[in-house]
Formats: sequence, C-alpha cells, structure tokens
Amino acid sequence: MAFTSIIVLKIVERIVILRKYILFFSLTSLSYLGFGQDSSAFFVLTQADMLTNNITNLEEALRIPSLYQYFEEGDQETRSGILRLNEIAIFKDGLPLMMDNNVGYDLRSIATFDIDRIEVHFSPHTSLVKNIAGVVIHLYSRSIADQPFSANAYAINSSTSDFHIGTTISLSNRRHIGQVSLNRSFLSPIYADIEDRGTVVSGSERYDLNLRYKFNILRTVKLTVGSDNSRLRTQQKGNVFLGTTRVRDIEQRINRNNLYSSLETELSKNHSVVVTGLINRYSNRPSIIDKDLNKGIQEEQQNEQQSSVRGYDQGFLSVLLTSKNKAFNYSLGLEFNNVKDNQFEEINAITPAYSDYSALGLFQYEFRKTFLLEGGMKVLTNSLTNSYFLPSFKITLAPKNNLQLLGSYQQSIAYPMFDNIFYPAELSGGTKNNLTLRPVDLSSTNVRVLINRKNITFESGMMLLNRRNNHRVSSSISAVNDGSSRSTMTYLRASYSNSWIDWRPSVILHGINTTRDTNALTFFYPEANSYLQLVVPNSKFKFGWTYRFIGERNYQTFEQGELRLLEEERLRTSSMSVSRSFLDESMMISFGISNFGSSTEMNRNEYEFIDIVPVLVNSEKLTVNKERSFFFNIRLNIK
Amino acid sequence: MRSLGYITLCLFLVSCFRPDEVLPPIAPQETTVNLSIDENQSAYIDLGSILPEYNESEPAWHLKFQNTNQGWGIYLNTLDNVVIHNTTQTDFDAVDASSFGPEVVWQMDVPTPEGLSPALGEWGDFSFDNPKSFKDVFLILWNDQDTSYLYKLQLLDATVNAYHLRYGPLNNDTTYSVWINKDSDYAHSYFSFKKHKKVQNVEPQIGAWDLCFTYLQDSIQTHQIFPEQYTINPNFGIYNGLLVNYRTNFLYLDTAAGFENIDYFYASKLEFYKTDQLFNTFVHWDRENNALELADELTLLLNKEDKYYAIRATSFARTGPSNYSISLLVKQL
Repeated sequence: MAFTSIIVLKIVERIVILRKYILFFSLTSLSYLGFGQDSSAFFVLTQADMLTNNITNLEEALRIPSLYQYFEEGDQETRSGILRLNEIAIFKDGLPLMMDNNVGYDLRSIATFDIDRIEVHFSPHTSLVKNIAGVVIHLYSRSIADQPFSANAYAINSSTSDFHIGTTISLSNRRHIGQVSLNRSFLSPIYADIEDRGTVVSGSERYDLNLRYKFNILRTVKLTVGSDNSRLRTQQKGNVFLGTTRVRDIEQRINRNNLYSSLETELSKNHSVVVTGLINRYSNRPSIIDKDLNKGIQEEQQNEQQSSVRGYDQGFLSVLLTSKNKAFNYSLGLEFNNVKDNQFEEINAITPAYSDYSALGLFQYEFRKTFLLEGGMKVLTNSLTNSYFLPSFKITLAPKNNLQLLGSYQQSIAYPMFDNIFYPAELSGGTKNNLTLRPVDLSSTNVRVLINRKNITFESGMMLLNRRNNHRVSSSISAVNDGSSRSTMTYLRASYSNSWIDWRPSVILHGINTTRDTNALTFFYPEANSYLQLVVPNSKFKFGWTYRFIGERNYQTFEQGELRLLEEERLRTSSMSVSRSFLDESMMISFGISNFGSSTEMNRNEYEFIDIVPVLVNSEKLTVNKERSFFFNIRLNIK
Repeated sequence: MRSLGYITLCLFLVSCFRPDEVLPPIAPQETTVNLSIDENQSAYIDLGSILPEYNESEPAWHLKFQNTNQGWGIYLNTLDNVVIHNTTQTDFDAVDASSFGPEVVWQMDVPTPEGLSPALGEWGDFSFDNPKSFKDVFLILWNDQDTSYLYKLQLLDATVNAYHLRYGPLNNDTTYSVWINKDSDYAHSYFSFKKHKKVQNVEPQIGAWDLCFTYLQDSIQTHQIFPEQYTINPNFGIYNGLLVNYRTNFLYLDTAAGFENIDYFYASKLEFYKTDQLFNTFVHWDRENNALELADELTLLLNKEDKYYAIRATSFARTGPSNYSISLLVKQL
C-alpha cells in the first residue's frame, strides 16, 4: 500500500512538473504559431508606464530601453546602437506599422491612445522577414471590452500647452464587435531661444479616426477589419531675419491612412491559417511660407514646395499556415509587399517603386520537454535587386523548471531609402541616387539566460549584430553599398511584481563599431532604466516613476571618404505620476511631471582625423526633450 | 458636469497654434558716401553694416592683378593716369628711349558689356597651368604726384598662383624683378612702382563688401555727357561709378514700384542679373543745366544669397570740382 502510495505521489509530482513545462512551452509555441512572435520581450511598456511618461504618439513611445532619440534640424532621430530607425521593425498587432518607410516618417503621425502595451524584442525568432535581426518593436492595441456598450473619454493637458482629447465607443454582441475612436492632439513646439519665435522642434496638431470591426464568423473563423487615419499639421517657425520684419516658416501636412484586415481560421484540428492584408498611404506636403509680420502678408514658395513633397503607398499581404502538434510543429507562409512613391510617378523615366515576395518555412521540435529547437528559412525576392536567403534558428534549453538557456541566430535585410535609390541629387540634398543599391544585410546572434521565480524574473544575455553592405555616401557624393558595422548589446534585466509593486530595472552595455571596415574601434556606452509602478496599499492611489540614463556615446562615421568621430553627451530623463480612481474606477485622474530633471539638450562634438589626430570641426547642441512640464490626465470609462 | 465641459472646451481652444505676432515697421538705414578723385577714390559698403569703408592705400597703386585661379587680367589705375603701350618687342634690354616717340598710342582699360577689358590684353597663353607669357615689352607711364615716369614692363612666365614681372626705367640703369603672389582672400592684388611691392588695404576681403562707389573710365562718346575728369586719352573720361561684388550679389534696377512699395515678395519675383560695374547709377544728366541730378525714381535691388536689399539715393551734391557726396537709404527686405 505504502509502495503504491509512493508510486502515485511520484506520478502526481511528475504531472505537476510536466504541467509547468507544458505551460512554458505552450506559451512559447502559441505566440510563435499565432502571429509568429517570440514570447519573451526584453521590455514591456505598459499603459501605466505610458501614463507616467505622458506618451501620446510613437515618437514619444520610442524613448524606451535600448533606444534613444534626439532632434537634428527639426527632425527626430531614433537610434539603437548602430541601428537607425529604418533598420528597426515596428509592428502594430503583427502588421508592419511603418516598415518600408522609404521616404522618412514623422512618428508624431502615429497615435498611441489605443495602444495597450509596447514590447521591445532583441532578435526574435519569428515569421516576420525584414528589419528583424536587431531590435523589433511590437505595439498591441487595447482589446475591446466584451460588453454591449462601452465608451471612454479622456483629456490630457500639460503646462507646456500640450493638449489631447479623445473618445472611444465600442459596441459588441459577441459576434460583431465594433469600435470607433476619435482623437485630437496638440503638441507645443520647442523653442530655440525664449526671446525669439524660432522653434527647434515644430508644434503639431493631429486628428485621428480609428475604426475596428471584428466578426466572429464561426468559433474557429474570425475576421478583423480596421482603419487608422491621421491628419497631422506641423509648424516650424523661423526666427525674424535681422533688420527685417520677415520670417520663413515651414508647415507640413501629413496624411496617414491605413486599412488592414485579418482572417483567422482553423483548417483542421491541428492546422490553422491566418491571412492578413494591409494598405498604407502616407504623404507629407511641406510648405515653405515667407511672412512679413509687419504687413501681415504671406506667400508660399511654390517651386521648392513641389520638389519636397514626399509620400508612398504600400500594399502588404501575408498568408501563414501553422500546425499545432505535440512535438513537431511547422509554419509555412507567403508574404507579398508592394511599395510605390505616390508623389513622383516617374523620375528620369524610372518609376520609383518596388515589390518583394517572401516564402518561409519554419519548424519547431520539442524533445522531452527540456529541449526546443526552432529553425527555418525565408527566401525574399526583391524586384530591384536580388533574392535573399535568410536562415534562422533558435535553441531553448530548460534544464530546470525556472531556468531557460536560449541561443538564436537570425538573418534579415533592411531596405535603403528612396532618397538613395531613386531621387536625384536635387531632390535628395545633393547625393546622387543609385538604382543598384542593395539592402543592408543584418545578422544577429543572441544568447541569453532567463530565470523565473515566483515574483522575480532575471534575464541576462548578449546580442551580437553584424551589418554588411552599409549605405554610405561615397567620395563622389553618390549612394553606395560599402563597409560593415558591428555592435554588441550586453543586457541584464530584472522584474519584481506582486499585487502592489511592479518594478522593472534594466542595464544595457552597448558596444558599437560603425566603421568596422576602416577602423576596428569599438566604443561602449551604458544605459540604465528603471520603471516602477506602485499601488499604495489600502488606497486608490497609484504611483509611477520612470528613470532613464544613457551614457556618453562615441561613434565614427565614414561618409564621402572621410572618417569622423562623434561624441554625444549623456542623457538623463525622469518622469513620475500619481493617479487616483473614483466612482468605482469609472473615472481616473492623474497628475504627473515629465522630465523633472529638465534635461533638454545634449552637446555633440564632431572630429575630423588629420594624420590620425582628431581635430574638432563642429560642436552643436541637440534637443533631446521638452522642458520639465506638469500634466493632468482625466479619463472616464462608461460601461 | 456642464462646467467640466466648459473647461474642456476652453482647454481645446487654447491649445492651438499661436497666431503670428505683429512687428513694428523697421525704418531704412541711412548712409552717406563722400568721394573725391584726389583723396577718397573708393568707398566700399558691406550691406550688413552700411558704413562706407574708404580706400586707405598710401601710396597709390598702379597695377591691379586678378587673384582668381583662372584669372590672369592685369588692370591699370586710370585715376592715377597710368597708361600703357605695347612695343611688340620681346627683348627687354632692346627697349630703350628710342622706343618712345610721338607714334606711341597710349592705351587704357576699356569697359565692355562683359566687364573691364585690360589694356595689357592677353599677355600670354593661359591654357597651361603655369601660363606662358608672350614676353611683349610694354611702355608704361605712371605718376608720383606731379612727376611722370616712363618705364618698360615685361610679364615673365607665371606660376599657378603668382605673377612674375620685370620692369625699370628705359635707360636700363635698374631692372626690378618681382613676384606678385595671388591672395585668395582678396579679389585683386595691387602693386606700386614707387614702393616696388604690393600695396595692402586697397580693397576689403572678397566677402566683406557688396558695393563700391568709385570712379570708372569710359568712352565720352558713349556717355555724351561731361566726365568728372578727362584722361590722357582724349576719347576717355572719368565718371562716377558703382562696382557690385558680382561674386556674391545679383542686381536689378527698378523704376516701376517705388522704394517704399518694394518688399521681399516683390523682389523675390524679379529676375536678377550679374554685372560688376554701373555708371552714374543714382543720377541722370540734366540737359538744361548740363549737370548730374538725382534719379530719385530709381531703386537698386541686390540679391545676396537669400537676402534682398533695396537701395535708393536721397541726395546728390557736388562738394568740389571732382568731388561729390551721395546719401543712400538702404533697407533689407
């Protein structure tokens, strides 16, 4: 009897352990098989964090771990180590948000009022194809409440005169679910000098209309259709020309229309297919306006305006078949993508457009619940250049219940900008275009260890990223593929969460070697982040605090045959908020301070090498943030 | 709830782009130029500061050399009555007092629509990086106050950035050999036979001036008016003139709109052109009085990079036989 009891106890114990393993692997495989996402994000920016940092658009949202931003000549630059924004994939609900952004993108045109969370992934193993070998950002929309009627309204006002107001109305009968969101946002400009009218970062006014419709056709067949639409107007004010009453302002009218659809269906007990499509249109019409502030006369410069209009249309379609078996799973997919300039039908008898299609086959094999092997390949064919074979694999070892060892390798590519491929020198600031310019090759190796305790998670690892066929400007001022770069990210993150605290500190050491082909110098810069959300026990108060520190960054550039060294000053930013809910959580009022250290500028020194001696050639101040501001947020929920 | 709605509406309205402020008008700047053939022969004006800067060279210069890379023009100082004659001989020592006689025709620089044509003409083959001189020997007549000197001058081969010349009196007592180095900061280098070296401070650096009020020589036949001064060549006279720094400025002469009505929006639609010299710009010849009078309907418009300037003369007065004073209104558009 005792022996039998021992046997039963052993079996129960095995089952408990097995369930934990099954839970872990099912999480990984479900997300992998769903939209092809790696489950483990390095960082998740929650709604509470967005409130603490008063985030209202994608530009503000991308000030998150591993990324940093500054403004150069009024334009925002987002970087991560050696990666520029057009080499970082950004998805919203699994669909490309601004991929193939070949004409530059004003990130303020992408609203985040409907975003539930933003995830940062390092080299994820995924069915996605382009720009994914380094940092990948996923935005996920708020789910629609499963109620016949729900609505919310909000207003945010800050001491810098920023103002956001919006409402969302949702209707649902479980089979048909619809949602309409309206928003207006005004962001005040950042002035160069308080005494003058000139702005370094333009003010902007945006109107948004987002629509979503879900149709649960059958229990296993779901259709989602949606559309995100934004109209953004920006106003870059110029200083008064000395000795005159005249100014020159630049206004931009940016329209962004996005129509997407997704159909999910189970083909059999073990197979499902997801078909997703996207049509995206983006256009940016800048106007240069000369004004006489004494006479009240203003005129647009017609010639320059016409040549500076930018925009593109994108069509995207993907079909993904996935299996759901116990040990062996696979995914097969096709992806079609078409991008066309919508401002220039032809440039020098060439249509500025390209298309690409990709075929992918991925597999996943589990062995004794402690070993998971994932791998596969993608073949992408681009109409302008060539075909690319992009292999990937990932190994997960789970020797203990709360310990994972992961290693992955990923290859990807990132397209050049239209400036470099199609636009002649007079449209691209003097650089001659190159129709044969190839995408940059990205490859990354990511090794990490993940420890999960009850309330605590630790993750540490290192990602090695190689970039070949860099896009550079040659000494003859034309765009060329030349040279290679390498970066490393050594990272450590932790999180501690329970019912009253959620703390997520992280540290990253970036090593960047941008000119590996000419000069094998690697520069390091540290980054530290802390995101804290605190619920005050026995009260309705919540407290949020964010702190970010990015150390001094040095890197080299090799453009027009000249090697240059750039030194950028360290950045620090911190925000906090206090919230309280009222009326049974139907109303929430928050008060916060953004950038309370008031770190608004950083110095950048540029050195040229003369006989290996660096000589200072330029020193400038770059805007990194708005000045310290107080904000007030009120949100009403009606159910 | 209603008050909350009002507050929201107010917030909605205040958070908009601010309307443009209204600035008070800016009065045009005034400046006066006083010129004299004997003392202030040139007044340089930088439109940024307006104040005229007068030629401070002492002693006077005699030859002016182009400093641009491909420019090899050599000009004469007409105001000091420097004139030249090409002997067509190439043997420097062979040119002596016998080369000078009544048959000598003195030449001076001639204004043409393409600019000033130097009397020395094309003195070499400039298709080489280091120009090859034809080695013609010139007779040159120059003055030092009341004394006139007759020298012979020969251009020797030049290098990429320097002129090489030799000169001396006709009796071959002394021969000077000098190099005139090109200075890229200045449009011209100036040389004095009296000092036997370059003269400094004749003109400001290339980018430091926009207009130069000075005297220019031209055909009396062309102008059909009395010159400020006659020259050794009876066909040529000295007139008051205006040099425009054509390297940085484009020009338009407007008589239609009126100075007060000209603004940036009007100027930016005009077709500006390049020229380096204008004669009697702000004055016109009054046939009844046989004198120059103010042309107050004329506005000189200059386009420098993305800036526009309007200039109008408000007064013109003779202060001596070859002296005059002109007052200007200058406004940046």
